[in-house]
Amino acid sequence: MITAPLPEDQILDRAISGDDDAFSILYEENVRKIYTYIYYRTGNTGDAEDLTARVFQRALRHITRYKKTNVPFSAWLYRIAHNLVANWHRDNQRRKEVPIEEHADFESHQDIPDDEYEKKQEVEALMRAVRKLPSDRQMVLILKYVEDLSNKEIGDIMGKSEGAIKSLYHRTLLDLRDYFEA
Amino acid sequence: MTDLDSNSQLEQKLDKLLNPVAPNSNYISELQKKLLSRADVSVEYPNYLMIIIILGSGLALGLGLVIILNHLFSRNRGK
Repeated sequence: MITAPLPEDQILDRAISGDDDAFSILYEENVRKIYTYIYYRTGNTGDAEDLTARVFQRALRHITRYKKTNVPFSAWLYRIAHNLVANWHRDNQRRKEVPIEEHADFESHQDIPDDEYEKKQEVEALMRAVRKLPSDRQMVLILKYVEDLSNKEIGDIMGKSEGAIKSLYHRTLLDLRDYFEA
Repeated sequence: MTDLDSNSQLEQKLDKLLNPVAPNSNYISELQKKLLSRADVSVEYPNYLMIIIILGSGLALGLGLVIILNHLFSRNRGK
C-alpha cells in the first residue's frame, strides 16, 4: 500500500517533538539548497561539505526549541548557514584564497573544451566580484539566481521587507557593475 | 548604453552563470546516516535525595545512640 506523504507542517511538528525520521525528511528537502548557498559563499567543495554538516548538526541539536512561524523552515537553516559562513570567513581572513579553477575538483584546461573552460573562468570572475560584496548582498544574489526565489521569499528568509530586498538587490547590481567597469 | 540595458545584461549574465550545485550523493547519504546515528548521551546527576536520606538517618541514629547512652550513664551515676 502506498501511503500519502505527510504535509510539511506535520513533518515539522514531528521533528520539533524529537522525531528523527521527520528530521531526516527535512534534511533531504533542504540539504542541496544549503550546500549550494555555502558553496557559492566559500568557493570550494571541502568547506561547503564541512559547513553544511555543521548546519544540520546544529539544527538537529536545537530543533526541539524551534518556534514555528509563517516563515519557511529553510529560512532558519539559511540563517544558521549564514552565521557559520560569517564565522568561517572571520577565522580564515588570513588564509590565502584559492581560485575556484585551481581547486582539485576542477579539471585542467587540457581536459575540457575551450567554451566550457571560458564559462568556468567567467563564473570565477563573477564569483570573485560577488564574494567582495557584503554578506547580505551575496545572500540576495544567491537566493535570487541560484534558488530562484522571489523578493518576498528572500525577505522572509532574511527578515526584511520585500521593498528592502528590492532596493538591496538594485544596489547590489550597481556595485557589481562598478566592479566590472573598474 | 542606458543603465537599464546595462542592468539587464548583468542580470542575464548572473542568470546564466549562477546555477544550483549538486553535492556528491555519497556525501548526502553519509551525512544523513551520521546525523541520525548520533549516540544517545544521557547525563547522570548524583542522586541527592538518596544522599540526604542516608546522611539524615545516620545522624538520627547517632543522635539516638548518644541520647540512650547518656541516659544509661546518668542512671548509673545516680545509683
